[in-house]
Amino acid sequence: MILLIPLLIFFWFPIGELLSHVSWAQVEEVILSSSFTKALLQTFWSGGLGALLSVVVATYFAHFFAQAEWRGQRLQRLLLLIPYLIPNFVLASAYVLSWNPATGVLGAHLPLPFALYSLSGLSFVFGVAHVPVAFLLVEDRIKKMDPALFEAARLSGASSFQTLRKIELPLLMPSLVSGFALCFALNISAFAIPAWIGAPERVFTLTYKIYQTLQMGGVEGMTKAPVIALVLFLISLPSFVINGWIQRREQKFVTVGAKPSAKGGSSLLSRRSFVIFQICFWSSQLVFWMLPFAAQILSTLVPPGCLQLEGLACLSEVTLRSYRYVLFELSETQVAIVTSLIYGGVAALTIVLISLTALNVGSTKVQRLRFLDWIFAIPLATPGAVLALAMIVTYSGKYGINLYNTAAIAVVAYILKHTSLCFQPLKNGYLNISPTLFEAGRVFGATKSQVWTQIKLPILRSEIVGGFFLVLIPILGELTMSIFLTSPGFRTIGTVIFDLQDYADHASAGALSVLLMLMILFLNELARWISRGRVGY
Amino acid sequence: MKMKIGAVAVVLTIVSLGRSEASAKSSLWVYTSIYKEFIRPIEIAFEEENPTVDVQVYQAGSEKLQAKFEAELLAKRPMADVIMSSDPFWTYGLSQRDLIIPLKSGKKYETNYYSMMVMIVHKSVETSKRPKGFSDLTKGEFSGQIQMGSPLESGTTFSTVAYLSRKYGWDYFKALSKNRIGSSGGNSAVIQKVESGEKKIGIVLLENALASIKRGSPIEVIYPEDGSIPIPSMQVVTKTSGQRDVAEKFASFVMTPKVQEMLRKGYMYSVRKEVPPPEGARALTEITKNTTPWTDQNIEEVWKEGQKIKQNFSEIVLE
Repeated sequence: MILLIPLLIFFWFPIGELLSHVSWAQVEEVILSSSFTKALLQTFWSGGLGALLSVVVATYFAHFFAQAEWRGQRLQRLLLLIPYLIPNFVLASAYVLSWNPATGVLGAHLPLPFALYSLSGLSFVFGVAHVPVAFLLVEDRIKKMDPALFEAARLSGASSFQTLRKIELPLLMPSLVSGFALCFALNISAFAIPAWIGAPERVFTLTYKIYQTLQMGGVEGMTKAPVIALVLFLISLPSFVINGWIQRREQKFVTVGAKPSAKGGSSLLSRRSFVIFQICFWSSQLVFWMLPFAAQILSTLVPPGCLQLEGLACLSEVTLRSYRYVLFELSETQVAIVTSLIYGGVAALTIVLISLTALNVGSTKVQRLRFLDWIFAIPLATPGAVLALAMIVTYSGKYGINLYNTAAIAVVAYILKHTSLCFQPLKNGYLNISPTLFEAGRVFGATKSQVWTQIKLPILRSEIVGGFFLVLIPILGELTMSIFLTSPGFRTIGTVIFDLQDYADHASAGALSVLLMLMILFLNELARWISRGRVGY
Repeated sequence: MKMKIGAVAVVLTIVSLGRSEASAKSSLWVYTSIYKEFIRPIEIAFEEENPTVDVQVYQAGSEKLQAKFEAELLAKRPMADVIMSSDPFWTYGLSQRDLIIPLKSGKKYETNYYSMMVMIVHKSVETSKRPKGFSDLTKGEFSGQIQMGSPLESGTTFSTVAYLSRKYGWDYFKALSKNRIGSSGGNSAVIQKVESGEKKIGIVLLENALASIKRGSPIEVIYPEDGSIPIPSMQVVTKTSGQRDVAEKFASFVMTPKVQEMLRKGYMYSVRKEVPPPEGARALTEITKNTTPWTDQNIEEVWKEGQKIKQNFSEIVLE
């Protein structure tokens, strides 16, 4: 009840309020149009292929990061997570700058094997953007596997493939499916990537249709948009159903020890496979984000269009004008940074508390946790703009609660939208702990709260911190909800970047995005320094 | 029981967070599509002349402004006192829906400035190979080189499509589609495509083009020989405004030479004849010689045909 009542009040009621204005004729009009069917299929395929790419790449890399140790590992791990630190629209615009068909600055030297503006291009960028999300889920799972299992398999004569198929994959399956479901939900509800990569060649997704419906549809558009949002949620359902089914067997594979298994895998990984891994790692990271992002940074330092026209020759015209402007001349920047950090922090902290409460409520009952998984995933798959407008319609005082034009409405929207991102890894980590540990604690006379503070929380520490960052990062650059929910005194970094972009000042928008990323990296390092390496990535 | 109390506490905390502090000044809400950089001086100037008024501005593109206000209408709590939107058809619609009151001038809505839709070209394109007017864009030599916004996403692009479809008919757009015209986003997206050289020609607002040129963008403006397209920005006072007098005062203030000059600095054309054109732009009379002006009648027609126009464009260009 403690979770369902706020969710009912702040999510289901507003969405229901918006849907109550929909007529059946409008539903028919939306669903029966040919453009809708096309967008539906394109959403499904791009979201699915992107999620598959994320999970495959993440699993391969996680295998090494979790089982081996080498010098520079932490830096490489941080590099792997960077696509998640870059706001989606910055990543997408970096790809356009690098590989657009006419003047892509990387196109001539390093062509992609497919057209960027296509379904394949869209799926690829989705995949790149969400590799870190899948990686964090899978890596954690592998870390908690006992290396003795693999050694035993090898000693019994099992080949690498047999070990993978019969031991590793079954143990990993819940995390793989969770990762796929989460990435799929993120892909199908994403807006910036389809807008930059899909729209130029008319590869429209449902989120883009929603955007169009809201932008120019007037009052009718506002009521049609939630219909499309509902369909969007329905197509995310199968992945969550399969996820739920897989996780019914979750408790078969648990960690009995309180500590994650020690890394003993380095001996399991041959030198050859490690070298191949390093080659794959650096080449993929170069293509995935290093080169495009380097081009993007360079474009913020030179006059507009110079990079495409003159290539590296325009390095002679390097200027910090954009950075000077956003840092010292644009008064909104400082306000936005402070506001984003305060309210983003409040939202992220609340999400962690909600997730822990959910674990307490769900306890070790998989059915309950699965149900909570579902109810948190629904807002995640709901496009931000629809959620924001539903909140405006409901919480402007019509029903006695007036949050409109206050920071609270945005904080609530952030919490609703991002809880699933924190809950998923926390839940997976929680289910990975054997209930016998809790029982042992109780047998020795520990109270419920002592079991939490002395057993559960210490074991879940990395998931809690990871979850906090996993939600804080997208909130700092959040745009689609913030643009509708801004109020006097409430400006976020995302909305300032949007304003600059809207005013066609792409260099300044890019500069602020780079600063946002540096800020996130700084926060991460600060957290590590304060906690002596126990907190942060 | 503890849990129920907890749930109530969470809700109450959020609700109490949401209480806004009362201000000694009266708030006047202005919803506008004028860029922040240019509305801010107007806001300050009005507050200086009216110290008891605190002007609160919601600034966004006409589409987002529209979505926000419609959401407020659904909530039966519209906030805006004054709306200044670059979508004249939606603003006209507000008057037809009986949501606004007459201004001091006696009009229900009035144009407070003009934005102009023109063409831009990447500076690497030779002068002899540039289009001279909108009608030239259907020529085969420009195939794959043109970019425009989407009327499904941008209010000013919608106005442009409405204008061109009335002037040249839908066959014009069939020819543009055959010429593989790109159509997505709004004016900012068009400028980005052209300044990066991805497309060579764009249909875009003059104010965006001039501001980008000032920032060093490698684009040049083409004033179409068949007439630049005027996008009138309209201002209205809402019927639900709690302080109509102040709202009307603000609307009148926007029409003063002082504010019109401020708008000119934002690269917009003043409605006052004595105010010169924006810096770097040609005179309004010169660039609209061949322009068919908007009248109340054709604004009403476009307002009524809005959905049909978007549908036609989608079928011809976007599908």
